[in-house]
Amino acid sequence: MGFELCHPAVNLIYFVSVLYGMLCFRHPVFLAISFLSAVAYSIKRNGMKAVIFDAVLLPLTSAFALYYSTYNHFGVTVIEQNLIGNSITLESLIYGAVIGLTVSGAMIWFSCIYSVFTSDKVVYLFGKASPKLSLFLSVLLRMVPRIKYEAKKINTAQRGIGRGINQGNIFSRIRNCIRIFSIMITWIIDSLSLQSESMQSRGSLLRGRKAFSIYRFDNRDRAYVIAMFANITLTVMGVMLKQTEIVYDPKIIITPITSVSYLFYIGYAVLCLMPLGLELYTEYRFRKARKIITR
Amino acid sequence: MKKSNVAMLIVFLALIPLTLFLGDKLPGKGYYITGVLIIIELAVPFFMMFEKRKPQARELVVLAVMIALAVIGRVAIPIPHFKAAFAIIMLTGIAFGPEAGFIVGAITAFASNFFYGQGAYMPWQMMAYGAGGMLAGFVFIKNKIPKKPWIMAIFGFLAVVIWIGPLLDTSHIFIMMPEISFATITASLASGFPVNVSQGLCTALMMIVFGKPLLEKLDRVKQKYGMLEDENGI
Repeated sequence: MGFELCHPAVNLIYFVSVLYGMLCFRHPVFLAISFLSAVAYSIKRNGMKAVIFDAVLLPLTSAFALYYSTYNHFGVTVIEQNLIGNSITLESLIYGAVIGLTVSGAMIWFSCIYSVFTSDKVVYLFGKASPKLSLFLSVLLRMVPRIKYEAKKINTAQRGIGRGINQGNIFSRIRNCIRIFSIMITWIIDSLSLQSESMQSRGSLLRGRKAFSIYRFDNRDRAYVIAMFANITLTVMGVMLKQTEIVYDPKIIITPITSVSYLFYIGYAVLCLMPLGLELYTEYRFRKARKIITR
Repeated sequence: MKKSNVAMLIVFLALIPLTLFLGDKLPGKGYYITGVLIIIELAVPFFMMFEKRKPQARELVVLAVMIALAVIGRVAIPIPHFKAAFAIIMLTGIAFGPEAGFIVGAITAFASNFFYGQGAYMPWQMMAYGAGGMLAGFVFIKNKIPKKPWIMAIFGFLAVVIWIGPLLDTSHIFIMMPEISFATITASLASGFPVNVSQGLCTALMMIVFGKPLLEKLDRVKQKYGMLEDENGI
């Protein structure tokens, strides 16, 4: 019930545009909008796990800002001189915080992407190019969880004969890790060739074969895409009018904020919050409809 | 020598230098075009390896695993100039022949550079890494030299110091140097020497530690499925 039920192409357009905005806009207002909506959406999707993840990222961000400002000394506003006589400036501190927020915001968006984009969507979107590509994609995307599972199995078996990764002193632990790694490589090569063999035997590479999918582009998707593109257009207009431009070196210079700027801010905020709004709205509708039944 | 080996040598000695030379003149991010062109050129001898049949999906999958391993060997070791990638590329060349070694090396350089940043040196790196795999394939062809770990370790060290390292340093000569003269060439080769020695030591170490088990695995799949050979592939 939510964004993941939209057509995969809609998900792709949304996440590409939002990630682009997150990584390219250095303007503090746009950055704050994108970061806060990423936090809100990840909490909506992943619950408590996301709260912990986001809370861990924030101190890392400020630590990065401190680290950045001790190694980069551009800017005119000197805060103080450090131990070896280099000046720590306000500009480099702020720019370090901006970079840190950008990276951690992108990581939070990626956590949302993982929960929305399942591997069948990836195969559906990119596998259309050729049957061979779709075979490789489906094998590779399934590979990561299979490798995790198999590594756990091998480690359990090895622990039974006293060769687990947490048994013995440090040297034998390293040796055990290398041994398990070597077993894993044997298994990966063998199982991958077996898997591709079996998929080929079932006609996976035949010409004209299509991947099964249940997706269809309906009117709700159309409405969503139209609303999304309206907001993207507003944001692009803001970019064209240099609303997102900012200079940090040697002095912070922002394009003056006028009343029209708020329009672009609202457009970008609505764009970033669209899936969250959709999910809240569907839940509200669902609850309301259920009340009618139980009455 | 097989036909595909001859084609490999022709591509390496003639086509790739020509591509690199012309690619240097491309403006901006033209090095992506050069890199992709090199991969396309390499595909010719690679497909000739299979003579009358097409490469199977499982063969490509094994090479993909080797590429992934080599990329991990380059990215996951945090010590600068001490990477396991060369050893894995050479082992692929030893097990599957020069064509496979070259293509694995080239794609490894291309893929691992996404972690380190692409640049104008990228096509040169593809050429040099691939040349390492190719040399290993040619030296150990037909089992004339025993595939013992210490022999492979000596070969790996010498190959990195004499062959791959100087090839990588030539990129420096062509891209950075304002003029090409005997002095600049010796200067850049000499400045690359310590790095090459440390890389060579790492390669030798990896050959001793991982050489035998990895080669055993590759020989096993080769025998089990008749992989990457001209005949009896199904």
